[in-house]
Amino acid sequence: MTRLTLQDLDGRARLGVRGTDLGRWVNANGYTVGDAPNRGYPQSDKSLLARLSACELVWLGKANQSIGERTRVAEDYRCYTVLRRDTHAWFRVAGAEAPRMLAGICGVDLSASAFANHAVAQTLLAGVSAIVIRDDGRQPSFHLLADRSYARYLNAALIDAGGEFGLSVPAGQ
Amino acid sequence: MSTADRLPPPWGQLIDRDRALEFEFDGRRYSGYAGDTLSSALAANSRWIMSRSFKYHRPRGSASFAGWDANSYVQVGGEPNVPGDLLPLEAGLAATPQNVLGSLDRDFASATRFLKRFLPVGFYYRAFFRPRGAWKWWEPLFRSAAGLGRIDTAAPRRGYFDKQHLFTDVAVVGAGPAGLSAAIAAAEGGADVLLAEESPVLGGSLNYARFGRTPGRVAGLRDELLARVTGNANVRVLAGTTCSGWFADNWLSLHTRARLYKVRAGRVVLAAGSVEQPAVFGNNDIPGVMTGSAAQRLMRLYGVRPGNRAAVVTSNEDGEDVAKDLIDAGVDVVAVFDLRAGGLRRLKALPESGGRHVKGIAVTHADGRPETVGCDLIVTSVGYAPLGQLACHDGGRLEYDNGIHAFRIGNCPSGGDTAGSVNHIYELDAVLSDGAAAGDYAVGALNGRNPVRMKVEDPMAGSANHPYPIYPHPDGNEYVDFDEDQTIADLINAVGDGFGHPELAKRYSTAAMGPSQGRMSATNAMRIVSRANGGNNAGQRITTQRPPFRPAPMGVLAGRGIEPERLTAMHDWHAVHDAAFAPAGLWRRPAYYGPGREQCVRREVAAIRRRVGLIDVSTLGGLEIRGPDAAEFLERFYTFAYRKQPLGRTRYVLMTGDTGAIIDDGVAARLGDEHFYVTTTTAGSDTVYRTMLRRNAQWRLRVDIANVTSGLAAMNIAGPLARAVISRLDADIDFSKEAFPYLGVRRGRIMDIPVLAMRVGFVGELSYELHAPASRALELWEALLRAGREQDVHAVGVEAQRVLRLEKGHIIVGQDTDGLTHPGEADMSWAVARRKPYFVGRAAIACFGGQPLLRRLVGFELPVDIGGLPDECNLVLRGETIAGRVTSIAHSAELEKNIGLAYVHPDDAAPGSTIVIKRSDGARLKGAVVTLPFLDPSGARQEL
Repeated sequence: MTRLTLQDLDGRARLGVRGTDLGRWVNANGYTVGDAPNRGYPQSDKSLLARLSACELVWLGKANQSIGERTRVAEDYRCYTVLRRDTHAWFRVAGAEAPRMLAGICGVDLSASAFANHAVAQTLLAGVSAIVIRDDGRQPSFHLLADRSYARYLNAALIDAGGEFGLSVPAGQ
Repeated sequence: MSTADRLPPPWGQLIDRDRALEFEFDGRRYSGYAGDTLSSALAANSRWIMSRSFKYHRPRGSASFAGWDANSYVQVGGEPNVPGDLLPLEAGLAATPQNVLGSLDRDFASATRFLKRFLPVGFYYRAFFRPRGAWKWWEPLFRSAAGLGRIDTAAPRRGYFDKQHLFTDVAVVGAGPAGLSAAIAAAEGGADVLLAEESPVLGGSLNYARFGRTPGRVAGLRDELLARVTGNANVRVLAGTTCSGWFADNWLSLHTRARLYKVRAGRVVLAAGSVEQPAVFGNNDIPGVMTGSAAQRLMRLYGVRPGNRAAVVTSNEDGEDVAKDLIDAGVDVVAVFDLRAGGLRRLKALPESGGRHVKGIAVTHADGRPETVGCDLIVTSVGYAPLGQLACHDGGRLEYDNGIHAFRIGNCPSGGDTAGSVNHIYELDAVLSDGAAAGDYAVGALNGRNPVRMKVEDPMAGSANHPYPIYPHPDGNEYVDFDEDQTIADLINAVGDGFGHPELAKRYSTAAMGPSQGRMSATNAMRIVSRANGGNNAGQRITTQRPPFRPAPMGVLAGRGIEPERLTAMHDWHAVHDAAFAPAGLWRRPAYYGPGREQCVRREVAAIRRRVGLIDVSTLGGLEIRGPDAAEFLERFYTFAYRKQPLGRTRYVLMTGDTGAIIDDGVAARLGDEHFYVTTTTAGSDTVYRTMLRRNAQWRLRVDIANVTSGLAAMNIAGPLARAVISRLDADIDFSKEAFPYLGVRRGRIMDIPVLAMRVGFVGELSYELHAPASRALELWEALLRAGREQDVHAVGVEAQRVLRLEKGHIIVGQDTDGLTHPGEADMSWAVARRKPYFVGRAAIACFGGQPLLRRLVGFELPVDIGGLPDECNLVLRGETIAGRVTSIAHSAELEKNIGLAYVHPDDAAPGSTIVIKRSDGARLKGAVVTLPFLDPSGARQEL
């Protein structure tokens, strides 16, 4: 088993939802989400819904999922969607050494004892604003979302930080 | 001594005698062992001189063999000031000495010793400035003599550096007996422990000290402690790692030669130990004079005999231990001068010819009896200074305690503790108890209990330190500070010159201001200054201690060799098409396309003026303001009026700060009754967004603000043929003049790509600014270029755009404004809605309105045949008075003129006035103030 992998998930569907009446969108899509901010909530369709604040959610689709009808919500300031595929790059780092590797570029303690599964941190990665979401499978796994314009820089920084841990990067990435 | 002459095992526990290494120092080849440092390997080769002193170029060798003095600092390639005491020996290592004029053995600059009486402390503060202008002659001389080592600023980046964050319950700094004991106690109490040790091996003084009060225990105890540390899964060990700073909330900076660790700790235990202090006496700086612990390190760690005939000067039990160690190592201890037994009146090391090594010691006993002893080694054991500097980084104090004749740590940072000899506890069992107590206390405090810190005292602490190990000699040369060549007389003279406060004496004399930061000089300097002041040492504080505790390589501070940069969605297209990139904040923007800057810019300007061009403007900020109070929010945030802004129309936005100064500008597009899309400048987008969030929190309006800068890429298709090009694409937007007039905004789809289109006039031509999702922007960009082939469409860079906007007289905030420019000065009062009851900056702008202007931004023209344009920021003169500066300037091929913007005196702002610009070469050029814009004053071209 590879100890550590970096995946560029730019092709996957993702969506932001903003406003003071997020329940409208959540209910319309049959999702459930708690009130606690900085927390991810796995959904029955295998997607992950993370609450960033009382007024903002980010939805991360699984492979082969599309935005579909999820943008169908009244376009007013109380609840509207933002196409996060355009605003945010999306990487995933997975592997037992992922917390140690990310400690090279992130000031938040991402070890299991301090950053439980589905915890969310809005922090800096290699000096760039980013959203870190822990989403463990069989091994520690972190979704990393950052401003799209930094995608190439962040990819380079992740590869650099992962060098000493034997980071594996899919060909062409 | 060669490698073959080393002391036999168990001496030299760090060296691997099976791995001999060749290295080079000062152009000569030597041999050492793996495990050596550069200093120990040179000592093993009887190469004792490692450097020349800063001021008098006296020969110097390591006095501590622990890097506490700067004597061992060397140059390694392009890296200066590498402590040879800490530099691991590697095969092929090539080091050179620093501060040498001539050779290390024969330094011509050592002749400065004959000028010593003319170079008293602070001499450079009182001389060289008369007659007027003399300093210009002296300055190069002093600058060439100042500094240590050489930095090659042109050298490429060397090696790999990075940073790492670490998190722990308890951080223990120092892995001597106290640190090991603390780490074990904390780890066995269940805490996650990080143990940092500067040396590559753990054990601290257990590796080299004799601990004569507990004979025979040291090696076994060390092995037992190490086994307990390494066998405990709760302990992470960072050996060879220096803790260089202790900041608020237990944030520690640690570094190796290639990595900076940023550590967050719940508790900190400082067990850094102490530094053995030198005695101050005549010629105490020459090679062959060293502290007792330095001699012990050489023998026990590296198997190097520090000399053959030794004299020991001591005032404590440790000196007796050193003498016994020397005897065990086969050194002939020819004299032991016990400063406790009546003491000495005078003390002086006798140098060989040229001062390159000790050849003897001359003393005058208390009863007046002189004695001279031949020796090649003088070791001193007169006391210690606690390594409490780290605690001082976060509010701790080192205050002199007359009871123990040393500084003692006070006001330790909350969340921190100290243990071991840093607490003046030296007796081994007491050290272990103190460490364990600190570890237990840390665990208790972490667990929310209210533990009591067990107090450990060492009854012998008071006898470890000599109260005044300072022996003035009529011949002088008693060095208090080796780094800066400061003597007893220098410090006394500093007090005599009126700089009696320790902080002032430090600065005036520079004692303790060298690279070793007073580790081996601050205590004695304070004692001398205090006595010269006629005062008491008690309560005197050590001068301010600042991080880093040890000098760190610049590469460690810089970290990874990757800098953040932002790329637009079309970046790869630009690169493929030969764009020259220019930075715009963190963005990389195409400056122009193709080889030859001037001709490219000229061609791109012409493309937009004559036909059509396409500019990537994705770096502009994009903010969406939604909510019932969106218009009200803009009313308050910007100077203009937005409440009545029609749907489908754009309007200029000008942002001012509370002081009325211009902060940013852009365009607000009204997309709905409760929905605006606002652009910002490239550099201002983050600031504007943050400020909007802050204002919204204050005003509590019903709006939501989203930053979509990266989400929407943007491109401006501009030029008289722009409509012809864009109309060729399949779109549901009518781009005709009637349906989509100037300053209009439309939403729709082009080739099924969602687009926000705005008619803007920044470059003064028919323009459509298209904002599209970043993931599809390249598709749109390439479609426009394909559609415009017939019109010979060109990609246009930011440099041409700057010329185009200058011809139109449009300002760039941040280039044509500064931090004080208000709308009146920039001739932008038209963008200020004075009837509004409030907007940010209104009160200040109103005040400015009642005052006469001090400067005005105007357009000017210069003749074409002036032999070179002025630079931006060249001065505008009024007589000999500075009236303003040039903010923008370019040659306009379209107008066949040199045009620019400049701040001028208000009396010179009327069109037709003459201004004088002082070019960088000193030439004074006459320009004419003109009415803006330079091009198309009717606006017909942009409203086409």
